[in-house]
Amino acid sequence: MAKDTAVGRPNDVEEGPGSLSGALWGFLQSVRTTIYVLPLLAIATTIGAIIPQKRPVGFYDMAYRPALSRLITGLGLDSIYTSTWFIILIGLLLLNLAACVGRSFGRAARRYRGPAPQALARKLTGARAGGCWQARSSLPGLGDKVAQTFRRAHYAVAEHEGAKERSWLLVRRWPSAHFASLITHLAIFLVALGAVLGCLPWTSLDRELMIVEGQTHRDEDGKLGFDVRLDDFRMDRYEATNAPRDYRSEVALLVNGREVKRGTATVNSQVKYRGVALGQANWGLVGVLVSVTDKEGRKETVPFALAEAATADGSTAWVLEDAQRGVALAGRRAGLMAVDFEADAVEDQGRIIGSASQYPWQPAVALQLVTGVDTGKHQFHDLGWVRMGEQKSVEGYTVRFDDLVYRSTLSARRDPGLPFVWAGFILVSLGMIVTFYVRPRAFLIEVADGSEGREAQVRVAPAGREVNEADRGIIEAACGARLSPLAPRRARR
Amino acid sequence: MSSGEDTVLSVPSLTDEATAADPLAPDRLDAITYRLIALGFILLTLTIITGAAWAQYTWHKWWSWDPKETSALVAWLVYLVYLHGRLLGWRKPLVAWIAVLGAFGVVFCYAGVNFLGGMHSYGATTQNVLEGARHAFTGMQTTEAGLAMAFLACYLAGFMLYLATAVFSGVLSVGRPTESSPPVRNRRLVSVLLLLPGALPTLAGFILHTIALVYRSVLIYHATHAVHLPFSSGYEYAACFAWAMALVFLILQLRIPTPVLGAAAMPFILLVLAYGFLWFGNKGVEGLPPALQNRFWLHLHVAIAIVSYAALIIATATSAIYLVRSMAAMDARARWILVAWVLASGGIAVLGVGVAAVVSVVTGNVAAGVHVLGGSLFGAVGGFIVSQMVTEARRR
Repeated sequence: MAKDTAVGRPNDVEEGPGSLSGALWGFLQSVRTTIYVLPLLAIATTIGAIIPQKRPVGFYDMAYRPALSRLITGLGLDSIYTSTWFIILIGLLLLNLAACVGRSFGRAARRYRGPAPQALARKLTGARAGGCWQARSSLPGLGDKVAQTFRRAHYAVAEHEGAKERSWLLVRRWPSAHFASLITHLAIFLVALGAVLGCLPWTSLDRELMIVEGQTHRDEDGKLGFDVRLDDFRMDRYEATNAPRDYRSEVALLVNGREVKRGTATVNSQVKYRGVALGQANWGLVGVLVSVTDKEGRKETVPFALAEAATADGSTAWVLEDAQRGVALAGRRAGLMAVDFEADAVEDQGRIIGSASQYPWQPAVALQLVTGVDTGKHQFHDLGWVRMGEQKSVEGYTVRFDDLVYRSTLSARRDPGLPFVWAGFILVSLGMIVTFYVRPRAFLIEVADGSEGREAQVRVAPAGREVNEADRGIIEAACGARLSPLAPRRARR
Repeated sequence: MSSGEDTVLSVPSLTDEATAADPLAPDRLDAITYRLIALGFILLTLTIITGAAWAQYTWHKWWSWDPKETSALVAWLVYLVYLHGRLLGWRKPLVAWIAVLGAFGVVFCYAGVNFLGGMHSYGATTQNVLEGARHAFTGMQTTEAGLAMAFLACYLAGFMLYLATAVFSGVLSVGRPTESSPPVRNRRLVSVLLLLPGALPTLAGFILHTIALVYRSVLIYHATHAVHLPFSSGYEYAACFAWAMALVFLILQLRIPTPVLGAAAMPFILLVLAYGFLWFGNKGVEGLPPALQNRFWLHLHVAIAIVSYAALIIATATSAIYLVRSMAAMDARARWILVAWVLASGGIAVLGVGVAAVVSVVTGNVAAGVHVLGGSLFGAVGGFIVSQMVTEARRR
């Protein structure tokens, strides 16, 4: 059975006698090298998938036992994909690939051109005629007819002058498929090139901008090329399940303080400007805005900061950053204190008992108004829970929970490698499909045209072991006669 | 070699005369495994590529070394070793063991990440089998739960009947031509008769399974007003993956009409379903989270992924049958070595069961016991596979 393809044949490496470069070249262009590197990469990647990568050092101390944590950080298993040995492995694989591709190019080109007709014609003679076929026909101009039939069926047909007034047709089907395996392997280089271009700091950009609503992210180092102002952030939900449906950031892009573009970044759509794509990556709550209106109608907005906290079951909760801090209102006669906050308040018998989720679908804040701040005789007036949009009055003050302040994390990315990556992926896919499913074929048809009452004779010799059944069908249709085996084939398994 | 007409990498064709003679002939099983892996490998490549395209669309980065991406890459690398091993002309049992090992890669890719976290992990897990059994149908509508129970029962009956007929027919000897074999026509009739007891309930289960998935899509539409296949939760994904495996298996059953294939392949389908039903708690319909909302990429990526996994897992079943059949050609010494390895791995597994029981009783923590059990079974099976690969590699 044949054991070679366009790329890689194991044992045909010519090594220089004892020369180091010869041995190195042999090592590089051997498929055996590939087979040793692939499992190593698989093991490294498995470790990388199991151990969370690039976390702060403290993470590993908390997640693993001390000895294991030291082992992980000591061996660099916490950042496998950027470790030198992983990059060396990838580099070795690419070198190996390059050597194999280089070595296989000549063979693929030879196969593309097809075998020499003389070599196939020799198959028609004597004991080597296994796999060859013949037919007799009384049709005139048979050679041209066969050639035309194959050309109409999109075969490549080359006509040659054969011996003893016979014409030879070298017929090839899908000859380009000989390059498929080569292209598949070459395409990996395109993907690798794209990946490299996507990581180089002077060609690419990959950062996350955390911006609070109403604030502007300044482009300090000039890499972004513009400032980003977050005008608004919103979350949508599924009414039936209360699960988040989408996150939207309304952004304005500013160059030298002048607005150059507005847009909405959502999880599935980015705002693009000068090759940089801004996408929605994360969100958070930073504060509660409460407004207080006094008897004279003077309105003041008081912010209370929120912070992220982990709950017992590991999920996120939003809590007041400092639950006991009061804010003095203008005139310093009264103050406002926020004592508790629930993002998704759950009520039980008229009382708020906690949050159903981390999502701010039903935000509520528990407030206290403090009067007598100017006189030092503090009096606390419990306002209880106030839901967003709700207002409560006490001692002539009207208190309203106006709004939440969000922060949005936007990913800002510029990846000049993308076209190479996509081109590589397309070529890998196509090359693979052709390699596995398209079988290039070549065969020689020898035609001896009939004359003076003699029948025309057609003989077919395959380049491989057998003439494809479909190809035989075309020949039979062109000749108007059945093909029969030229010589008894050797016994096959 | 004078031409490139017959290349190892182009998929071999199977002739029908071979099917009639011996549907489980090792060379034929090897060729079928290779076809399945070729298909699965191409689809796995497309899974990774469509995943990258979708990641670029939604996460704005085509590759972020997320555990799902990397575990898919691991499975891809294992099958790459399989393909290049064939290219090097490695012994067929060795590449068959690599195909079996590949199943670990696929399982790691499919389910492993749910234990590791990352952007692909599905939430709402039950953490332990006992609790899982209580919540097997929690959140499901009555009709849907009925359909689910029906197809589960059919698949289970199918597996048991396949196993029974396989054992009844002399395990692996039916279909193997001997000197006293009846004529081909009779043998075909016998093989069809042996096939039906397992195939009929399995086919019924597959039809009910299909109806259940369509019904689920209708429920999703009613709940969220979005038209998409049930690809959004861990349970749905498992149900679809099992469906794809059943589809690939039933198609393959036409080419390998023996109950042995059913006995080898059905456990995988049942395991994935068990995982889907027991591991994930609430099976109520959920809307797509923002990251999965692009329905083009969702359908393309997930559909390709489940068919790819299905082809690769069923290839594991055919490889396993191949390995059992190829053992007939072993000499006595090799057979004893194999028996020793089976006993050693079995010993580890039994030890694991014992330790798990002790841990459960002493700590009162069933989940800890289950983890020990899972770990030791995984170690025993994995160790056995690697030992056989090493044995085969040394035999070259």
